[in-house]
Order: sequence, then C-alpha cells, then structure tokens
Amino acid sequence: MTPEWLITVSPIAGTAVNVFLQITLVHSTRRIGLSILAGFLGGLVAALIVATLNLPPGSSPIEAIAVWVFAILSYFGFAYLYWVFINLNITSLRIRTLRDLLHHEGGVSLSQILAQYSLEEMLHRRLERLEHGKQISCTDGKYRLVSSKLMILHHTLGVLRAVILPPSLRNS
Amino acid sequence: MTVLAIAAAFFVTSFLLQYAIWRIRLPQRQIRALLILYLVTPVVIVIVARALGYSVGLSSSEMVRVWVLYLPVSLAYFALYAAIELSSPTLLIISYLSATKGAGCGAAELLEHFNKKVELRYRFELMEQSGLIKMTGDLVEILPSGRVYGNIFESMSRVFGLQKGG
Repeated sequence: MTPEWLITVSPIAGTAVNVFLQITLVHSTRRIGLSILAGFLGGLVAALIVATLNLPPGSSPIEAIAVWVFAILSYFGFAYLYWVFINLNITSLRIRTLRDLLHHEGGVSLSQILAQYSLEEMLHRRLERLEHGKQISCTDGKYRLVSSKLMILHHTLGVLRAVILPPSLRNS
Repeated sequence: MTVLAIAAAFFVTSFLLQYAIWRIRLPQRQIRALLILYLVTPVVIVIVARALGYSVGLSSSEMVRVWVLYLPVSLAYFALYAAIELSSPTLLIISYLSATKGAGCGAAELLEHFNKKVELRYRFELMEQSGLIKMTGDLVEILPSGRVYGNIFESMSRVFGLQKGG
C-alpha cells in the first residue's frame, strides 16, 4: 500500500485499534468506562501515527495540518459511532425492547412489556448510572446535580433541536 | 485542503437540503430519509460537476479520502439526530435537578416528573414508523428489520459482556 493510501486508511486503522483495545480491556478489567476511554485514545494515537509517518517528504505545514485534520475528524466520526453503538446497548429503551421481542415469537402485549419494565425501574437505573458516574449525588434522600457536563450537553441539544427540527416537532 | 473542502461542501449541501425538505414536508421515516439524502446528494453533486466539465484533480486515494471523511461524519450526525429528535430520559432528569438550583429533590418527586415527561408509547410509535415493530391494538410484534438490529445488539452484549440495558 502506498503512503497516500495509508493516509487514507489511517482513521480506519485507528478505529480498528480502538475496537481491539476496548474489547480486550473490558474483558480483562470489567470496567466499561475505562475501556472506552483507553480504546478511544489508543485509536486516536494510532491514526495520527499512521497519517504522520506517511506524509510525503517535504510536505508544507498546511499540507500536514490538512492530513491531521482529515485523520482526526474522520477518526472522531468512526469513534463516535462506535461509542453510540456500545452506549445504545447500555441505555436505549428501544434496543432493550427489540432484544426482549426477539424472545417472543408471535408478539407480546404492550401492557406486558410496560409491566416488565416500568418507568420506576427506568428512573432507578438512570439514577444509579448518574450516581456511579458522579453526575449526581444523593444525600438525606435528595438527589442533587454534581457535575454540569450533562447540563451543557442538554443545552447544546436544545440549540440543535431549535435549529434543525421544524417547530411542530420541537416539543415532542 | 481540497479533500476537506469537498467533504465540507457535501455535508453543508446535504444539511441545507434537509433543512428545506423538513420544513416543506416532514418525512415519515426521518432517519431513513436522512440516509438517502446524505448518500444521494454528494453523488448528484459529482455527476453534475462532471457534466459541467468541472474537475478538482484529486487522485483516487484522495477521492476515497473524501468519502472516508464524509461518511462517518454524516453517520455521526444521524446518531446525534436521534438524540435531538427525542429527549433522552437521562437528560430530562439532569434538566429537572438543575432547575432545583441545589435544593435537590426526592425520588418520589422525580418519579412524578418522569411520569409526566417520558412517554413510552411514543417510543413504540417511533419504532413502528421506522419499520422495526408492528403494533396491532395492544399486541407488539418484531419485524424482520427489527430482528436484524435486535440480533446485532444481542451479539454485541456477549462480546462486550454487557447486561441488558434500558
């Protein structure tokens, strides 16, 4: 493979390293958060190394920056998709429903599904995850926000919602 | 730089078309419509550019590079769109706790707020619109495309050692 093509596939190589590291670490440490972070960073380093080592000799700084921007943006796209893929399995109601339905040939009643997975359980799971992730704390039976990171995400999504969605959809 | 500019042009054009189409007539299956729009738009741009005699002089590896950049960024946007389309229950909790301004609230109060804001039935309706399930009265059945996704995530949970989420 020529250096030009190696630059082209550098984000894909980085993603392969990300996936490999993440799967290896999650099975050896049982820590999903650590495995995702380590996989992401390892893959990013791999993508940048492959892209940098294959820069044409005598490349100008602009050309080098363009290659790095390409490698970083593409890798971030792949890495985000991979993270969504894992995260959906952990948090998505719809994915959980589909997985439950796999085991019910001929279908199941909606009231049965809702009985198996109540809003109370859904809330409890989320509160547990948020406490474990140090986003909220529970003191004297009261939950409080500890970290503002998710609030920033909430506001950002609100802005994007206002820009992208037509008015009729914004309040759903 | 040309690779970055072309990929950006593809994405911006697709986004502007989406913005216009969504306001003229909202597609029934939005994610599917996004997929088609974001795949077809760059192809049309390339065909029209060639027909008009424009050429940017990219090598074959650079042409592939445009797609290696454009495709994951677009797919990442679709994933983000799902979060924009429907507020996540987790962020609803965060938003409510933030509004208490440090006073906090108990589990019962949170559950009452959650009950008002989280409509499980709406999520089932979205899945039906996407062709993943079929609802006949109270009966919910999984459709072939839903089975594909369900099996993918079942397999994934074994690879990653994840428990059933939700």
